[in-house]
Amino acid sequence: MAVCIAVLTKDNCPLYIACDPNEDSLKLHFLVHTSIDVIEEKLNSATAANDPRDLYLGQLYPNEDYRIYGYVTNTKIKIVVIESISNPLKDGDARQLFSKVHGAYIKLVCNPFYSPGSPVTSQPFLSSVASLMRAKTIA
Amino acid sequence: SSGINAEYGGPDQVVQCMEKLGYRVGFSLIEKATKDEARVKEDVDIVKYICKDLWNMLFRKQADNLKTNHTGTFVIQDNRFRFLTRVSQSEQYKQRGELYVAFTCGVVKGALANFGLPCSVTAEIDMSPTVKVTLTLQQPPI
Repeated sequence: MAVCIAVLTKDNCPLYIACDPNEDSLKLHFLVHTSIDVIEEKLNSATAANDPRDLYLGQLYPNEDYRIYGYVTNTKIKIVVIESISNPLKDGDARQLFSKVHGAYIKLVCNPFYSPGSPVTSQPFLSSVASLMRAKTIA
Repeated sequence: SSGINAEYGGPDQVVQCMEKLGYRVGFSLIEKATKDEARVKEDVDIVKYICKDLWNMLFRKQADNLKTNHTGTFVIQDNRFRFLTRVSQSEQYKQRGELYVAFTCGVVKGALANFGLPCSVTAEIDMSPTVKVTLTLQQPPI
C-alpha cells in the first residue's frame, strides 16, 4: 500500500500529489521534493546501474521510515511513489503501480478538455490514483 | 476558396487554427505512444522518432529523408506527402496546398514540445507532393 503517489511536470512542479490521510502530508511532500535531485542525477548519470533505457528508476534513496521509488516518462513527467517500510510493495508490484499511474496520466492528457500543466480536476484520474493507493496488491 | 477563409478571417488564420489543433493532437499522441518505449535520450533520437514512428502513425509510411546542419535545424522530407498525393500539381493550387500541411506541422510541433524540445516548425512545398518540414530547435543543442 502506497502512502503517497506524486506526479511532477517536466519543470519539476508538482502536478498532483496524493497522500494517505493517516500520514504527515508535509513530510511526504518534502520527501517528494528531495527525490527530484536524485531523479535528475539518475537521469544524467552516464554509467547507470539500471538499464539506461528503462523508464522505471527503482528505489531512489534509503530512508528509515519509507521506501521511495521513481519513474520518468519519455515526456519528462516524473512519478514518485512512497510506501512505508512496514508495508512494502514487491518489486514487480512497484513497476505495475507506476505503469498504472502512467496509464491514468495518459488518459488525462488525451482528454481534450484538460490543458496540460493545469491543476488536475479530472474525476477518473483522481479516483484511479486513489484506488491504486488503497490497493494491497497490484493486479 | 472564399468559404472557409471568410469564416476564419483569411488563410493565415486558417493555418494557425489547424496548427493549434495539430499541436494538441501531437502532444497527446506522443504521451500515449511513448508509454512502453525505451527512453529516448538525444535530440537527434527524438527527431528520428518523429521521422520514423510518428510519420508511421500518421501516414503509415516513414519520412523519406532527414537532413541537419548540426546546429539545431532539421529538415524532414516526404516525397509523397499523403494529403497532397491526390491534389493536382498545377501552380494555381500551390497556396491551397499549404493548408493541407498545416495540421501536420502542428502535430510535429506538439510532439516535439512534449518530448521537451520546443521548436518552430515550417513546411515548404516546392514540388508537390514532396514536402519539406523544417524544425528549428529553440535552444541550441548541447
